[in-house]
Amino acid sequence: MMDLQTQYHEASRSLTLTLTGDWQQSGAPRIHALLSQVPTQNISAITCDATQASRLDISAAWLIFKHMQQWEQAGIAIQFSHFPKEYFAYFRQLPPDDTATQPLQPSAIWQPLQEKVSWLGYLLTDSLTQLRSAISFFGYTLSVTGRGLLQPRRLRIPSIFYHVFTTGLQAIPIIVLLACLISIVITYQGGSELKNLGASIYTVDLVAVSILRELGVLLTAIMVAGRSSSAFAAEIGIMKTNQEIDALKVAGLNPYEILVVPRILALLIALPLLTLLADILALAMAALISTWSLDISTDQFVTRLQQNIEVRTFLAGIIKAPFFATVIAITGTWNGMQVDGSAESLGKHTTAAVVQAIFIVLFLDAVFSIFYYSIGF
Amino acid sequence: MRTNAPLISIKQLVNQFGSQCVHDHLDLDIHNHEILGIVGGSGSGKSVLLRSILGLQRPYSGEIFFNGENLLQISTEHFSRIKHHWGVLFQRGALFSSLSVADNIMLPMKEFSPLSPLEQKELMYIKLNMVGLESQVAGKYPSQLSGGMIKRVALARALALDPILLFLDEPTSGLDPISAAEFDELIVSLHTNLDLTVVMVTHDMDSLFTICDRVAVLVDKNMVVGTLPEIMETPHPWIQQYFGGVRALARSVPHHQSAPATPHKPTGQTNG
Ligand SMILES: Nc1ncnc2c1ncn2[C@@H]1O[C@H](COP(=O)(O)OP(=O)(O)O)[C@@H](O)[C@H]1O
Ligand SMILES: [Mg+2]
Repeated sequence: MMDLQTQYHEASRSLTLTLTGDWQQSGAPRIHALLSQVPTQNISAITCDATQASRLDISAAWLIFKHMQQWEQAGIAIQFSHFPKEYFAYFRQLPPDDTATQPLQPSAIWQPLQEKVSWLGYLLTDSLTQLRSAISFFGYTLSVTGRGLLQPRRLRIPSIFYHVFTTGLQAIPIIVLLACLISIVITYQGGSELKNLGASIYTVDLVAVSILRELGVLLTAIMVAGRSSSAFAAEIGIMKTNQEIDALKVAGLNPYEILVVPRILALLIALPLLTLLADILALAMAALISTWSLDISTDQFVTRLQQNIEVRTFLAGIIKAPFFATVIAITGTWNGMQVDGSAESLGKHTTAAVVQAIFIVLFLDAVFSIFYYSIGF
Repeated sequence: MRTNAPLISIKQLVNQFGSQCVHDHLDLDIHNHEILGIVGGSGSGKSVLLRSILGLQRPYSGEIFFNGENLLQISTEHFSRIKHHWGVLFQRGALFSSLSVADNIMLPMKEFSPLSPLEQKELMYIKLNMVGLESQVAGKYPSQLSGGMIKRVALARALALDPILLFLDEPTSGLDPISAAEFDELIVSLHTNLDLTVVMVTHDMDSLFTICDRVAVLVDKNMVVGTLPEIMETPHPWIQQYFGGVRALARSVPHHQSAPATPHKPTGQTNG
């Protein structure tokens, strides 16, 4: 237990403070209490003696030092006895009133306004720089991919297959679920409306067109964006943090060739296949539901499909898959490359990868819709 | 104060990873107020030993006592209260990458000390001074620091709560020789002034010679413990090879010491 013995020397009007026990950080409140009780009226000198302290840690010494300094400013001569002298060296090197010289500056009207404007400007230039970096990343990646396709020796075939496995094969269960659920929604919702109108058979057209042209590929892409874009960003981000990317560069290897290109090619393979799977499953599910609940036999369903739905309906959907795949892979890998070494930035860029991927996929889908309309596809 | 009973006592410790046995019934006593150096080849299990003591890794079997309490049996809350008085410097620093240097050092104080925010900040600067860093470093982030600076900041964080027991995993590796010597002096000063017990894994011969009271060598999955001269007399081939080069140097030290300008440290170098 820490304690303080105060001894008053009449002749010299001085005090000797003797520290006893353990003086340590966890007792800070008691340190303050003990020292503020020291009577300093009519005292000309104070000596603080640590000879009898069984422990005196830096924090405790600092708190005592600060009290002593206050007394010194009040005109009392101070002296330390048996304090570890190394401590004082550390105390004296403190940055001069770093903590004191930060009062809030009187705020004029101008300053907040100026700050807002410069913040806006910063935001703008920052997003422009980002955009530029993303575009040049995209271009460079395309050129490396192109070079890889021209010289297949440079392609990392095992790596591509690995990523086809993780982004494609492992996504199958969730895609199956997704396709069936969306098919249930459309078939029941559309079917019941059309049944009221006595046009149940049109359910086939409704389901086929909406799934094949639009929903099959779009929902698959969104699901893959959620799964793989974030995974790409996190994988590459961690490698960046660990300086693995630097190590690759120093070893004379091109990180884009090793990390980015296989992921893009893998998604280019996986996403169309997943879309195909989703299309087939959704239609099969629709056929089943039609038989059960809408009195459309499977034969009728298939015949209607063959008569009314052209191949280009299917093509209109599946053509979009490679574009979406590229977008997802690029946003994921690019965001991974932007990670700067902190856990926080890893989280930020992983989130950004997903958000950007989904946003650009939807945006591209809108562009495709307008394009198809204008060429009458 | 218990002077005779060991502060930490490890009994019959076994650590295994799959079929790989890292420690085979290892015994080790760490005494109050000593600086214990732990040496051993790379991969001999020094870090695993520290992790076992720190409760980061559950041993396969064995017992670890701290002040007579079995750390493997006490409650988690009690163990974490004990650990407030321990400081740890991890081999790779383990700074929190999303916090600035200042926040890294202040984090333990914010959580566990009764100091006011101003005092925490002042003490943060003092700790930075102690480990030999400029105060400007306080605002930087770990990803902006050099390897040696990361070590120092990590040490400053380990010292944040003024611990009584300090674990250091290769503290001077990655530091230049002058900084390493300063670091040794710092440890000695903390040790004498704070009644600090230090357990350090090190390959630095200077540290071993100048500041370690005892040395524990991890060979053949077990410990050989003693003062440095005792260890150097041990006939084990690995120990002989490890200290072999230095013995010659150590013998030649008295010649150097006759020259007045030479510091008292032997200048043994490790050549890994
Ligand atoms: N989490 C782990 N899983 C499997 N093996 C491990 C693990 N941690 C350490 N090891 C193995 O234990 C041995 C000792 O490791 P370590 O204590 O880190 O060595 P060092 O003495 O160099 O610090 C090494 O062979 C290492 O591969
Ligand atoms: Mg290690």
